[in-house]
Amino acid sequence: MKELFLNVRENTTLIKGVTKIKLYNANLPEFTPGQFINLSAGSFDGLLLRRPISVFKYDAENKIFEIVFEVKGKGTAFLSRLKGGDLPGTVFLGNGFSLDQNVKRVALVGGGLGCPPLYSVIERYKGRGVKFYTYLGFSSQSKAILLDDFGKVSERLKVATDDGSYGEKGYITDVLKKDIDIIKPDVILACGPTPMFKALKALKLSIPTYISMEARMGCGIGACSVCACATISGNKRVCADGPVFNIKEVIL
Amino acid sequence: MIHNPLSVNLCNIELKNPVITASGTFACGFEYGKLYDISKLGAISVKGITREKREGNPSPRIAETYGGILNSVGLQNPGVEIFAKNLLPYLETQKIPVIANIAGDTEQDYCYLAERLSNTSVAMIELNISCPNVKEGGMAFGVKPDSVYKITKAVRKYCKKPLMVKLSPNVADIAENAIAAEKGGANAISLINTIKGMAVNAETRRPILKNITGGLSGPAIKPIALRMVWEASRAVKIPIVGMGGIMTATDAVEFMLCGATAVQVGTANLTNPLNASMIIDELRRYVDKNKLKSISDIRGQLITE
Ligand SMILES: Cc1cc2nc3c(=O)[nH]c(=O)nc-3n(C[C@H](O)[C@H](O)[C@H](O)COP(=O)(O)OP(=O)(O)OC[C@H]3O[C@@H](n4cnc5c(N)ncnc54)[C@H](O)[C@@H]3O)c2cc1C
Ligand SMILES: Cc1cc2nc3c(=O)[nH]c(=O)nc-3n(C[C@H](O)[C@H](O)[C@H](O)COP(=O)(O)O)c2cc1C
Ligand code: FES
Repeated sequence: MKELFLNVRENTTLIKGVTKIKLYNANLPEFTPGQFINLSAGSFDGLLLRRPISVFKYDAENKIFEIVFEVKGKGTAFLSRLKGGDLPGTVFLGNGFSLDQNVKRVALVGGGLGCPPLYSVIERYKGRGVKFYTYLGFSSQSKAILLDDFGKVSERLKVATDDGSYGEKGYITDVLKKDIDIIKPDVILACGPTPMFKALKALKLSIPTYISMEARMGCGIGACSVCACATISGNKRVCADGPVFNIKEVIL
Repeated sequence: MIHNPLSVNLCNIELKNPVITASGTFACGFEYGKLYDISKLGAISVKGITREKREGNPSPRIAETYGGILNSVGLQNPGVEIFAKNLLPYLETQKIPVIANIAGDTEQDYCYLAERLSNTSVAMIELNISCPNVKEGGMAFGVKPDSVYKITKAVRKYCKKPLMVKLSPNVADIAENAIAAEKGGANAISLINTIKGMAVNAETRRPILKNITGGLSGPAIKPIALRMVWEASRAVKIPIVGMGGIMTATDAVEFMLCGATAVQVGTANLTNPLNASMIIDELRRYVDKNKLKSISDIRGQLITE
């Protein structure tokens, strides 16, 4: 964990309202896939809190990583306009996803802006002979992102949209269910909105499943206790005990 | 020994500088210790400690408002025994004065905690009778001057360490409450705790905090905090620790001019985890630039005529 000035190297609009930014610092610390950063959103408009954003791609050699985020309010609107300059941020935070040696087949389940961090898992484990089966859900074709990126590195990529405008119509979790006996994953990793996690839990699969949770945050480093997530063993801090939890543990 | 112009004396405790991290924003320092050497801090006021473990309120527990934040954590903490056994030893290795912030539902809870923690290495006890986020106790003890007096007096008997009473800003007359704490036997006063407030999402028509209301902190409350420190400092003789929206050394100096002996930094830690450390560095530049022998020389030096 380090507090660094992150240099904005590139800003791309992926689709309307979704931005990809490349950030550089010569002293980036070690990174575990699924970790996030707590990024300053400037001090204009009286903003005091940082914005937690997941890492999409991490390039250790060039000390660059990428984030993909949707413009929601003032903070992300500010970030989406950045073309250069330095921004303070704490990197890299949380536990992230880690795969056991014996895991060879992984199902990834992403919903909307929950998709980006799943890519960092493929990036890390692809070269170690792990196969990835990717299932991404969006509200509509116009909201679909990163399909090319995931398509290139997944054994199989399936997409579902709520309105049926692209891929299959309906929940991505139902698409996963239909495929589960064919892809036979050793583990399922998911990131997306809570309703998606509920649907995933409702499938009652016997496969170990890990989900990346969201919560409004303060410090992002485990010190202020604001980011509580209710679990069967009491409140846990999403920023420090998570954001990745076993789905069995979380009270959704 | 080299003269340290930043050192201040708070209830006979020598602080390296007047910057204390505020309760609830710094846990027990361990996390921040990964980012900088926390032994440079004047002191640490730890997260509110209760007798038993508490889970706090449901999420969301934080909202951002203009120049401020609202929190409704509700005193989540592992309880006094875990604090004493597992958390305090880390702070002991850091060699910084520890201020134990305590809270309870009843007068007995406060007395018990003060007595229990008096038998540990903590330097000072901060009586939190000003938390706006719990139903029982908390702020209820801190609103009326009579109850401030009563609880301070009761705890005083069990507390063998310097006792600092943390006052709530959600009161009619801060000076009266400060006097009540002093009469009850407080050795110092800290203020302000958060101001009760709320935030609403116009689109969903729902409050942002699950608890509906929360405590406002950050620069938005600084003018109120300064005014209260000023009024309290004129009403009592015991030292005052000021806080509320301190983001820079300039803010800290303003509080000292209004009468504070030391300051606490809370929300600023969330805005940038290095802020408390940077405030100390800036204060050093301030004393150099103004050729002060001691930072304490500015205490209460507000010019009003
Ligand atoms: C661990 C983690 C990883 C995330 N990764 C991504 C990502 O890769 N891409 C992406 O688009 N979004 C991500 N988010 C969500 C992102 O943090 C919010 O969309 C963003 O903070 C909104 O800020 P704003 O100023 O635009 O919105 P506002 O609504 O103006 O923000 C007000 C406050 O609420 C907080 N907030 C609002 N929505 C959320 C939310 N959904 N989760 C947490 N805090 C919120 C903000 O941080 C801020 O403190 C992630 C959230 C978490 C917790
Ligand atoms: C997330 C959070 C948690 C807090 N928890 C406590 C607490 O446990 N006990 C307490 O006395 N004050 C608590 N406070 C209040 C602060 O210690 C401080 O009085 C207040 O935030 C004003 O200072 P600031 O504007 O610098 O944050 C908390 C504040 C925040 C933001
Ligand atoms: S955001 Fe502060 S503990 Fe998680």
